[in-house]
Amino acid sequence: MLKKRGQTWSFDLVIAVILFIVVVAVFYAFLANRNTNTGAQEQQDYAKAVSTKLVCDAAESSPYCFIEQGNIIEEKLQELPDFSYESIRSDMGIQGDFCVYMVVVDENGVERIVPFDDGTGNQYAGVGSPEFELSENIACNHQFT
Amino acid sequence: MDFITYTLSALIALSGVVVGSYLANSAPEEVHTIKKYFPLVQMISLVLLFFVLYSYFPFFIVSALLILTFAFFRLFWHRQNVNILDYSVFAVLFPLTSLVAVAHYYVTLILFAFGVFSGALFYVLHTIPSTKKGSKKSTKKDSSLHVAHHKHRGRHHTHDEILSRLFASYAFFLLLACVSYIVSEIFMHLIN
Repeated sequence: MLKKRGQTWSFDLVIAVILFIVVVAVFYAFLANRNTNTGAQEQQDYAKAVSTKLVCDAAESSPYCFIEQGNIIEEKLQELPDFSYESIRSDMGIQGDFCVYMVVVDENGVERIVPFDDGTGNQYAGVGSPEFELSENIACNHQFT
Repeated sequence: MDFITYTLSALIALSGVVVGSYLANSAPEEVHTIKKYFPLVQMISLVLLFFVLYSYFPFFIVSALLILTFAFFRLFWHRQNVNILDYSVFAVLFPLTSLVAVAHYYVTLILFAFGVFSGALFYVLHTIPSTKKGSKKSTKKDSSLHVAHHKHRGRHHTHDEILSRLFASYAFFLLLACVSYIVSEIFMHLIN
């Protein structure tokens, strides 16, 4: 193994390295494309799964639904913050993190968060992962005082 | 992974060869006694590289790369320095690992460790160990390492030449790793 061989680059070695680079580049492009598509598609599927379970018309048996025929059912909305994030996630079969929150757009086009009220006076910015930040210093399940 | 982060990781990964040569320069006697194990460690590094690739990337793609690497070595084994072949493979495969952060971290460590042994081996190949006491070969009182008068086209290699060649190799393979990354990114954008 310590036998001395050439240390200069021959033309055929250069060609071989170039071909190697091209093959690796093709694999790189394929894997990068696959990761991007998988990630985006997965997120879309999860978002669809969550939003479907929130609409009682589409998921009657879902304990988390609070929208019926386009209207928000206040009693059911107030129950949502009582559920733990982990129980919602496992029931819906979602692996990633999510946050459910509501916004209204005023006449100036500015979005304002509509807090979830649990019926006892406690108001939360949203229901979901505390890792999400809806805006600066407001996490998903931030409690307004 | 963005280009700057990738380049910094390549800088770290490939700097092992410089560290290895410095360590060999600092402890030449010890390096000469264990130099027979260096090729084995280099081969283990290559095996570990593919072990990491198999852990984080699809089986068929890594198997194709393994066959390609084997063919590359088979074609040039008897004509080219094995360090150059190893480093070429590492530099070309390095961008692929940037797709998975954990895999990239492991490969950076493996490449650095590989470089330490490669640098030490390179230094050893261009030096001769000090001879034992009473030997007729050495007449110098200083028992430290002698630089081999490596006659290559009439030139003699000194310590500075050895180090400059190592730095040149370091820069070259860093460039190869960056070129490989850029070509990969171009292909990715072409397909997208």
